[in-house]
Amino acid sequence: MAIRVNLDRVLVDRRMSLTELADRVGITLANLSILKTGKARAIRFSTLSALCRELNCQPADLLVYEPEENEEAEMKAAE
Amino acid sequence: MSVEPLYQTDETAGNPSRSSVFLRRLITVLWYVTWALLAVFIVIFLCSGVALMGIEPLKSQLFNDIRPSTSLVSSLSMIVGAGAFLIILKQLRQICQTLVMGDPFVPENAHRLRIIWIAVAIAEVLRLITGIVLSGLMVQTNDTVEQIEITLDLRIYVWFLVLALIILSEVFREGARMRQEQKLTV
Repeated sequence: MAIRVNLDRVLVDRRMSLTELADRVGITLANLSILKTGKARAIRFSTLSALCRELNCQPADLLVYEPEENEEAEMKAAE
Repeated sequence: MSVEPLYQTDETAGNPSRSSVFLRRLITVLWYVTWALLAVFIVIFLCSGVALMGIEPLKSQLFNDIRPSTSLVSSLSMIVGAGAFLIILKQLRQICQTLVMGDPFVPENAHRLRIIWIAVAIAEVLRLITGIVLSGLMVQTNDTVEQIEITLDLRIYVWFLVLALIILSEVFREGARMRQEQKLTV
């Protein structure tokens, strides 16, 4: 997926554990792990909002767009 | 602000609906009845085979009105039919199991529905072939030729059922994909 989740880096910066964040945000640890490991297909605005509130950050701190190789090739071909 | 829990079905997973429990029981009963019928058909098939080999007491006592060859083909057809029915029941049992567990939209169920429609189609084709073979046997014994027409009936509703099952299996496949996506939505 072209969207990468930087949750682990933000957690290290905030010195917060995944369990603590899960408790604060109100979602299960399993779901938070899915998000952290990049297995998630989508994220609800409500989840993103809760994460930003508890981590005191912006959505851009958590999500990064990185075009995949074939995606870049497609864009170049289109140009 | 609270975030909705992801696996909402987990709460209901421990409490299967009455209808799913009833269906599972019904399929279990049918499963054992079909096995019993299959055993009966196998016995008839073996008796027909023995009678066809020319064992006179069996031939005269058990096959007064029906020829052993006709009985052999009929019982073989019934064995194949019962086998197909068992395959279908096995798939239905597994689908019901997922229903009772609370999450029927899994890719395996799409595959199970596919097996069901293939089994129904094969059983129907075999029924047609058996009908033709039996008609041939009856003609050999100077029975009326009308019986050929009777056995060549194409049951449109069965093929309609096959079509419906093909569509349902594809719907299930798409449903399972969407469910998987929903599971991975945080």
